[in-house]
Amino acid sequence: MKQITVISGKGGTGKTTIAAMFYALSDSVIADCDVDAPNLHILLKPKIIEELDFFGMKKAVITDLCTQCGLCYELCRFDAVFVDENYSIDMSRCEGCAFCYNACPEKAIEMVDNKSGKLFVSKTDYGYFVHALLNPGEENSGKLVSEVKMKAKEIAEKEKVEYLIVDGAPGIGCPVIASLSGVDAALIVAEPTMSGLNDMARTIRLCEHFKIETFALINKFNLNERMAANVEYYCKNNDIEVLGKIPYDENIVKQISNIEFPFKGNAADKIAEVWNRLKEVV
Amino acid sequence: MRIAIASGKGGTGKTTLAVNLAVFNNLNLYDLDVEEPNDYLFFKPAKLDTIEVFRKVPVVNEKCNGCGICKDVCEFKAIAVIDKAMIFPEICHSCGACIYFCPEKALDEENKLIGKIIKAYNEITLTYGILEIGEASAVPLIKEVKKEIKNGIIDCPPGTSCPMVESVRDVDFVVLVAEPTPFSLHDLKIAINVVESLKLRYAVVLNKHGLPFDGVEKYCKEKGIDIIGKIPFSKEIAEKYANGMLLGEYKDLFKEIYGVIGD
Repeated sequence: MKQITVISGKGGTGKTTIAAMFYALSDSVIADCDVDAPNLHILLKPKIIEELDFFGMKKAVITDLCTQCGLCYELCRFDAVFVDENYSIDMSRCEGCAFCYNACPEKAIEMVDNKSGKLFVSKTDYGYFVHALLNPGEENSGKLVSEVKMKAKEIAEKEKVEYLIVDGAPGIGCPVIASLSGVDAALIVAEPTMSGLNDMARTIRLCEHFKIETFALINKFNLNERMAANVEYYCKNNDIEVLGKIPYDENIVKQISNIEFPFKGNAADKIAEVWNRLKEVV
Repeated sequence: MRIAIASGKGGTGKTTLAVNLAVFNNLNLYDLDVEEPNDYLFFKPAKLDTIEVFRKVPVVNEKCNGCGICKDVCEFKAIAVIDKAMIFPEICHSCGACIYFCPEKALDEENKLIGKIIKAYNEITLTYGILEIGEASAVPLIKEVKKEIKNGIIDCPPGTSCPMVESVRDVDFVVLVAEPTPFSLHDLKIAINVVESLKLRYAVVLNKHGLPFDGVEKYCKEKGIDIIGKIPFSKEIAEKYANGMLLGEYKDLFKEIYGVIGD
């Protein structure tokens, strides 16, 4: 089983569109690892077969045993302890390091479970699908991404499918790093804009940093052919194969609006060509 | 006034709105999307100032006897002990617990570069953070960039987890940028949840207005959420954005949006 993560750096370049098509075209399991803005389930209309609670880092709570010594306030580097009449913890700032818990001389701090999201295993018309929903504003999306990916891998191995496709998050931080760990290849979906090029460049460096084999595709290339050529040139100079160029296609816009999937039309055909090429090279 | 531009979904037009809103209303601009900062691409600054940002990570000195207390107090599994303690600085959250609890004083703290703050002096001042590649958490850098914020426009990271929350916390107003797609509507609802739970004032700006999906407008109407501006879907706008150009012909629209927020 091969694992392929679809990422982009910049948001909105078409990761979900591309990843969903790869999934529909192959014998695979797909994991939506963009856990703070997951969108795949909208397209795939999953039937949920299993629902699991996700627990983030435990968080600190100050109990009645507190004698107001203020040590926790001094030690916390995340400004999560604040003083009104009494000392208390701002849960949204607490990182769960338990420094205060271990240091409190009165044992007045407890670490409590923090249910911060849900993980779903589903069946779709194309196979198994794993996604999650993080409670709004929660941290630790890297940890949730790892759990989503692990669950999807477990199913992929059990079902003996050929591919695990991972739809990644934008950016280059912890959720993206977690979605890249241990995969066979990363596919960067670039768009022909200055921001798209700039973000792709940082994403390529991230993949290099973690020594992951990387490929690219240029989405909506005909919206700016000059910039698309710059993207191609940059990839060539960095030894990244551009597996294909997908045209901007109003059919896809309409089909997303009406949630008609799998996509059909010119762009969809090109995505299928890229998928065939990706299978050859990975 | 501190006005945050956020969205939930990436690629809906945060940067377009933030940059044009700042320039055409002569406001300071702050780019807190430190993982992928792009606002600077729209300027050719005459002068730059750079500040390096560090966080503290522990390093083991010769006094370590391998007792393992540091490992026990590290909730992030950033320390392993074989004969002596070994630190994994990329996983470390810099909480300081290991240093405090080490009975041998065998851990010192060292500065690890996590990114830079850059101030670019253009027709307006742009301040942005740029995260080092491989650094997992954007939040410590975002916190440092935030210390520079006076009044102005704050371009936020996408998503709705900790980097976005840290960016919108304490602002006076949040503009959520949405586009007419079912994906954007879904993520907008999550973003609304976040700003409401933080008790922030907010409104929506619709980008790529004219695409066929009308779910975002319907939702806002139903919930009584103000849509304070609509940027049309047009090839010219896309072309200008692609080339890092400002939208001068829509100057009045950006003045109007700022006017509405100010009231």
